[in-house]
Amino acid sequence: MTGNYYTLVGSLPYLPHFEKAEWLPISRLKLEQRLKMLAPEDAEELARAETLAAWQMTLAKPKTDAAMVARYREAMETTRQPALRDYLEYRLGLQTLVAALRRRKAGLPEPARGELWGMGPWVETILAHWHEPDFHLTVIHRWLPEARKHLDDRNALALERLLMNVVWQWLSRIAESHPFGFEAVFAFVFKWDILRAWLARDPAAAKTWFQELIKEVIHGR
Amino acid sequence: METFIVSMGWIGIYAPLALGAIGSSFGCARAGMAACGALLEVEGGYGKFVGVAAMPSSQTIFGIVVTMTLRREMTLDNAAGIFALGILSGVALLVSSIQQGSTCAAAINASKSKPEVFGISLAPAALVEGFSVFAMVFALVLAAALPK
Repeated sequence: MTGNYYTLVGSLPYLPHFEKAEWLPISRLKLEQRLKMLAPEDAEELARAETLAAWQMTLAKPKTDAAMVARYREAMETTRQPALRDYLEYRLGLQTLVAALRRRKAGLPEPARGELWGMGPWVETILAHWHEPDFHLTVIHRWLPEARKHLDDRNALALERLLMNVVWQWLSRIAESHPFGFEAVFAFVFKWDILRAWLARDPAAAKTWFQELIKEVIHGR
Repeated sequence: METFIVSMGWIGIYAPLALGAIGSSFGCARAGMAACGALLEVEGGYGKFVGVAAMPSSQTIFGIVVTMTLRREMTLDNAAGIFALGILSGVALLVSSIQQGSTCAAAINASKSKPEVFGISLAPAALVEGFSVFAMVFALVLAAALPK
């Protein structure tokens, strides 16, 4: 059961694909002001999900694997919104897959049974197929061979772009299914987060964004 | 039993107006909320958003027309027909106005960031409006066949 947020969704700007964007179309401050239109319980769930699934490391994010797994389990038990639960499961499952690829590439042994190392629905499948190139998950995750290739080539930027794109597409699909629901709101917030993370990697775009911010402050827009 | 049948006839007379008005309320509220959100985001052209938000109100007018056409002396001969025409055209107006509200909200959301698509973004809302017109016109045509 999700409520509708016609006013909130209507107040959010168009978010271009992260590779095409030159600046953030809305500042975090303004976004948070708009998010005040959320029902308190939805706002709380979204804030909790952000601490887990933010693209970049934040102060609020758990620092150890065990703490992350514990926070994830708590979020899965307490989150009422099924779409948000699905997102957390997908996003952190994806993170687990990449962690497993990295771990194997680094020559580390496979995680022991009972070890708190990953989250999401594919942990058991990964362990069961540890020695297969894509953990027997290519049918569900078609991006895995490409991600493995980027890891082998040590192309961190291409891997980041691929993962961002996979999550971006997932969020776009969920937003389209409920254009004025909570789904559209949280999809916007997480896409905005991806866009911010992407722009932070591009010095020229970051400079343009900074100049826009300066203009905004000077002209009081 | 006769009283019950005649009562159903009276419900049928008022149903298009009442259901159309309920639908228009939902539709205008949806589109209106999206318009209010867009007002926070755009620098000008507020009027067109508010105008689009009013589109789902037309179903109430169609409901009034059908109700006035169905109004006649209620008898056992015509009550069942009035009930069927009134309720079904009312439900059609109710659903189309709610759905039109959603299409208007989507049009407002699309055109606030890309003003050049404003006209074409209203096409889905116009299509939905067309179905309301069908429901009204054929209710009027069939009402002519009911016993006076």
